[in-house]
Amino acid sequence: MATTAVRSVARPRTTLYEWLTTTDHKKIGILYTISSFIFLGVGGSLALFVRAELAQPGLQFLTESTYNQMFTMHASVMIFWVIIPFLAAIGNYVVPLMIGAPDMAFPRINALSFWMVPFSGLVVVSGFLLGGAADAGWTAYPPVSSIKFSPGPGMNLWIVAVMLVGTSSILGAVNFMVTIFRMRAPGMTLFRMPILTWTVLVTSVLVLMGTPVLTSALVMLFIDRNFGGAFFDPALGGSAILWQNIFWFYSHPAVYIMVLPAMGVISEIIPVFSRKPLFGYKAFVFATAAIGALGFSVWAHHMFTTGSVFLPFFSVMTFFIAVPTGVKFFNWIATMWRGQITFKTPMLFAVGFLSMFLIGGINGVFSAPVPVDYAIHATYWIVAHIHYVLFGGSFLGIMAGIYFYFPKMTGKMLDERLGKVNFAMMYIGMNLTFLPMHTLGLSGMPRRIADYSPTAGWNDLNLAATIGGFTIGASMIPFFWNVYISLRNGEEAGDDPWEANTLEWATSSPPPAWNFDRLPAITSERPLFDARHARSEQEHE
Amino acid sequence: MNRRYVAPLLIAAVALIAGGCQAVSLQEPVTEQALLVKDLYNLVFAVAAVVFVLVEGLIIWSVIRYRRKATDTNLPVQTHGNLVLEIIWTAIPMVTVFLLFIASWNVINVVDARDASKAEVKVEVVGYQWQWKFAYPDNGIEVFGTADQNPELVVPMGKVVQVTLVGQDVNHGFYIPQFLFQRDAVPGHVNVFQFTPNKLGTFTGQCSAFCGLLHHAMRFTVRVVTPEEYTAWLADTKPKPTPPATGAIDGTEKEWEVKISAAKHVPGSITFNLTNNGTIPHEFLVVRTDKTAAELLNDVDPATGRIDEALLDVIDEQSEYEAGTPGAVTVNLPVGHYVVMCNIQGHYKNGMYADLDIVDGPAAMRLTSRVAF
Amino acid sequence: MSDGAVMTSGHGAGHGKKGLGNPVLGMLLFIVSEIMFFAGLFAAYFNLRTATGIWPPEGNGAFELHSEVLFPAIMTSLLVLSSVTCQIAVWRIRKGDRQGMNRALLMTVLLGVTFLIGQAYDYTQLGFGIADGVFGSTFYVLTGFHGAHVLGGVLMLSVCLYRGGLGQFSAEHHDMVEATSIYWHFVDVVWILLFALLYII
Repeated sequence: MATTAVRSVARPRTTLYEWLTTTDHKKIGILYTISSFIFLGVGGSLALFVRAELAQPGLQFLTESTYNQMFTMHASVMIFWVIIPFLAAIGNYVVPLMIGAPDMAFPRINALSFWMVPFSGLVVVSGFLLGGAADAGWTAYPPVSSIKFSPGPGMNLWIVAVMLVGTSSILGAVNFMVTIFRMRAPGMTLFRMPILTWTVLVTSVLVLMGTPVLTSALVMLFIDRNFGGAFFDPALGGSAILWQNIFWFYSHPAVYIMVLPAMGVISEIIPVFSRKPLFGYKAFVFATAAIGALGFSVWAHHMFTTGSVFLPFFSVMTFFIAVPTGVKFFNWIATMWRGQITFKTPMLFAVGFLSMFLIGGINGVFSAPVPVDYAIHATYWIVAHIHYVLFGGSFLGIMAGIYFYFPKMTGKMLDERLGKVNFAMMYIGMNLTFLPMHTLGLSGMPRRIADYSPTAGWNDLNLAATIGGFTIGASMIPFFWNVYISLRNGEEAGDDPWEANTLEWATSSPPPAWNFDRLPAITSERPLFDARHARSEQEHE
Repeated sequence: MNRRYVAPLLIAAVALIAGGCQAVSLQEPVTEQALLVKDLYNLVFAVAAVVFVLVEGLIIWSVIRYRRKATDTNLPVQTHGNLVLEIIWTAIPMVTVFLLFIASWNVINVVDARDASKAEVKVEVVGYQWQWKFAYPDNGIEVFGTADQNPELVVPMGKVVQVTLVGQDVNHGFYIPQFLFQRDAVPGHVNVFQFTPNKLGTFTGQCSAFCGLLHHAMRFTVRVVTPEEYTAWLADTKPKPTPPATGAIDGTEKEWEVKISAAKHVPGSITFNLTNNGTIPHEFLVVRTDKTAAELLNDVDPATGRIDEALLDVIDEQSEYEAGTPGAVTVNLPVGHYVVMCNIQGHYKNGMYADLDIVDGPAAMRLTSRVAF
Repeated sequence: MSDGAVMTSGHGAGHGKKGLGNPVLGMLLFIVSEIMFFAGLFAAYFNLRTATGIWPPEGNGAFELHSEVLFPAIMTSLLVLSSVTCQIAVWRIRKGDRQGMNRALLMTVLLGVTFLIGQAYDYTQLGFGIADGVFGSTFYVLTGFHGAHVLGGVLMLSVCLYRGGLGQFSAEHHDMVEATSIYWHFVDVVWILLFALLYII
């Protein structure tokens, strides 16, 4: 008996109006993807400006003021308008399909959540045209972010924009949680959900409980800046360190918000391309939940050098949070172990994730022992750590997801050769950029400096990092070319081009508006795998 | 894998590891505390290296060894999990990180030790946009950085140095790479820490907390010298007390300040040469008082905006003179404290005052009588 | 092999099984996020109050709110009463009593608006502003954002009233009323905490 969905024959092309007013989670997922790529261009260009200036000592192209805007906006754009929305894109497109639902629980709120993203992105970037973008670092510590030391409009625009994009996330989290709790197909118990759904669920809990705390901090900073408030101004009885505590209470869980869904993506990809189930499914679920919970207990490790933190607690918790991620690594390796691995581009990026996130996870543990943190805090070692986990981790995971789900979203396959070129250039470029930063940090180069001493011995490594940065930029060219030619002329994907395991592959590519005509029986976490092998058993009888 | 690749790969691996070790070793430590930090770093690094080689090795091995071959038509064994393995690879990392925490805890107790009774040299460090100030309060020395010259903190080797650190305007980071140490200079929050230098030399420092436009230029140096050299430096650097001025005093007035070219002067006949650099008329009073100029603010009558001159011992004055015009007054002042001011309505409250001390100079003549008024 | 039926979204799902409709679950989760927002503001309040030592800070007699408790106490009781009327509205519509629900909703809206007016009046009577040090800043950010949430609640209640007047709710379908009432109770509880903290303790 057939288990694939009925294919729609004639597909009318959707008009611009439909795209602007859609509440369909699949279209919204595609909209999130497009928005994220546009802001990736913005954030990436800002990074290239930074790297171009740092390639050699001396201020060649930028003033200090411009440089400070560049690095502030690079981080802000990448975190809030690239990585988090990319993961929202994948979650939005895939999760309802994975659980056998026809859409998200609140489709109109879903659309609202999306449109707040490009709108707020325009708000924050408009600072460049209105007298100066935000320039106090993405961490916006007062007093340097107060009205006295950051008088331009950029900081106010930044505060408003981050509040908007945070609200968009919170509404999205509510949407995901109700969808996942309430709209799973019959037979899909919680412990039969795909791991990507689990990671989106835990991430949504983090967003729900963490992001509002950031909003409260932003509100107070806005009042300080514009209404004479005293929250963070020591001269008026306030506390500069109070900001740091409230800010990091969100911003540490934020890093898990940015990586857990990417871990979910590769947890879908590795089993498919190893032809084995994910090793230790339950362990994955518990490890994900542990990371989420522990993520709220480590925030002050960003503040060890302030001298106002209860060091033993935050140090020991920071050590412990390494353990669940280690568990995941061993389980991913065990999935590949004695498997039959094929290296399609999604699997390349997934293995890239493993190898790079490992480095980022390990160099992060160096900040857990407080005395070592005293030596490396706010240096380029931390910049290396950030980028190994966010680029080598989250972004490679996102690219893996895009290559994996492009056929489902468009009905066409991406070209494998161009995909491999994209991967190779990105992987090499990434390591060339960020590996030298370990040494730069250890030899004393602080972060966020527009220029450095020519006699410090940092020249060659900075030049190498710049070359790497431009290589990363160049690596996106084969990717966009690939997308263009594949949309026009790519190989037909069919329902299930990867021989995958989960429900999204049990319908056409792209799926009809209502997602499914028929669902296979759900008796494990791999319903499509079960259906395929039950069928082939039947055929062999 | 083909055997002939083994030797060159091994050589490449060794070279990579040797170079890598150099690349990821911490700076040469120059304080007692930094020695412990470097050892701790090396311990963490050793564990990290083992974990990295093990896990990365397993990843690389898996993707090479378990690549699908043309002969793989049946599915591989569909292993779902193994509880024993899960327990092992949860427990071992947990124990490992906990032991690392214990090791780090012993070090932090030394690095962050703050026994005030052990401090042998006390320094105050203030960070401000975009310079540093080093003060030795016990010796009356203050070192300020300038645009041409980064400030230098001079300390004796082998002595416990206690630093009191604060930020004046925004957060700054007092970071000395070779001390393997930094501490934030936060406005409204004073940090105290101690270190004991154990190597002679000059070490660079730099602000590590983003603080605005010229954050990248906020550098300083720490010069560690022998205790004898330190004592000599203290003696050389201590500011000599300035002798009281002689001769005429130049005074400038504008909205809203009074500036005089000497705050200490020998007693006797003194001519004040005045200039009104403001835009409105001002006056210049010389008043004998034991109160400081700031204390006299309390005597400004809110109703009139002036200090009641019936209550002031005014020696003499230059009465209202126009903006842009010069003025002058000559007075005979014995030893004592004086305040010069403009007492036009509102002007004193806005800041138009200055203190003046008449003290005996090295060979000053003393007036035997005060000029009666 | 059995086919799985595709579940319909939203409305139908959840009813009958547990009683909590999707919109109500969504509102409960949203309230969790609102609790965390106020938690951040409260954390700032506690941190600054502890650090300031003498509280209320000296220098402005207007900071002595303990002596001016009567008017806010009356406003508090009105708000608590509005929670009662709001719950009555829910109970009525669960029984299908549209008229009863509408009356109770109207009472709730009126009480809510009265609270807001009272709050605005109280603001004019206070002798300090948001720029008056940590006391002023924490007081106004907490009460101000609470007031903004009350306003949001009043708007939601008004929409319920409007839709109720058009007859759009029934015993089986009144998710919005349930969700709004949960939100309204939350707003009330936050106020009770605020009132105790700012005016009494």
